Amino acid sequence: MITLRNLSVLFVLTLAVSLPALGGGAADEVMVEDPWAREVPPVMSTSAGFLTLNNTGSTEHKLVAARTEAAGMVELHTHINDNGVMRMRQVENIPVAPGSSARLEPGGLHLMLMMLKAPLVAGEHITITLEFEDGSTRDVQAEVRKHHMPKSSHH
Amino acid sequence: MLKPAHLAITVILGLASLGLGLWLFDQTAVEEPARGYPKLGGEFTLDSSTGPVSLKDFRGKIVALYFGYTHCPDICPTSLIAMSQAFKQLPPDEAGQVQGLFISVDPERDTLDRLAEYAGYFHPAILGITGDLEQIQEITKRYGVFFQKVNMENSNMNYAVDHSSTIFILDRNGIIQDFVRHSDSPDAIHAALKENLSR
Repeated sequence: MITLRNLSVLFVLTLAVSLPALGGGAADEVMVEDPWAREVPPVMSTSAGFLTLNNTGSTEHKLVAARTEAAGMVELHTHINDNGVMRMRQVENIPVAPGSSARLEPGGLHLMLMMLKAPLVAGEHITITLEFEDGSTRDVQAEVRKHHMPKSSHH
Repeated sequence: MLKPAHLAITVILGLASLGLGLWLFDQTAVEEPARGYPKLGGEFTLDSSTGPVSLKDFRGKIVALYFGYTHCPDICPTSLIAMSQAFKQLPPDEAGQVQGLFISVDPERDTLDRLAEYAGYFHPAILGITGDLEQIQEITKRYGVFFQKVNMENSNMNYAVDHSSTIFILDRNGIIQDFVRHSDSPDAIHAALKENLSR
């Protein structure tokens, strides 16, 4: 069972892996929680990255791009669940309102990791650089996982 | 000699049992074919890396059927992981009675070898199959599955495929019994499998 203490440790760890922003600005105000990427069959050259962006600032920020050494290209995508039909679409940016958060999670917004250079294996970590509207960046260490492990369903 | 009162009772009892009989007959006659969705879905024969695969090959097994494509980075892996988890939760005697089928709606890019590797990654009991586009269109129509190639402008992805994300649970006779809506949880799939395994 997950306790409050575990949760806070997890939170601190998550913050710890969100390396200090390189450029300041938006990247200083947007905290990144629980970054992870999906392990995929070796035959696949695409995967998806997920995380939660928390805007601690007083103005809106936007995630405008992402990159990683693990993939040739990263795009920002979303899924629209249109009455059971999943429509994947590219988005220009992912806005985060002040004091609010944006969740990139299975079935919705995600970082589309394309042209993977090597298969992603569960347990490994990949560095993902997030770029915000003012050009500032933040590096996060995303754990590769087989599937989503929502905190609420930990037993 | 039969008294009129006795006659009346006999007639009433006779009519009552006839009525009961007809009612019971009616119940079985109505309920048997009505279980599930026999008018939807149905037979198909597609290709796998090890040869043709027909739905009827799995008579006696409960089939979990999903339509998708291997370049799908999130929706399909999420569904197949949920399916695989649902399979893994079954006791050994029941695990041998289920079969997963992943039908690719993107035969243009999904070769049979690619499909085999992809589907097998999630669970050894999930088979990746496809056919030519006309076959896929005909089958998806019968199953009420929508799919459409979408060009991704400004994206390096070339194209994506919009598609219904539903897992069909078919009974031992290949008749659709349940539609499990897209979810990252195996619970609904597991429940539907158990329900059908018990029949």
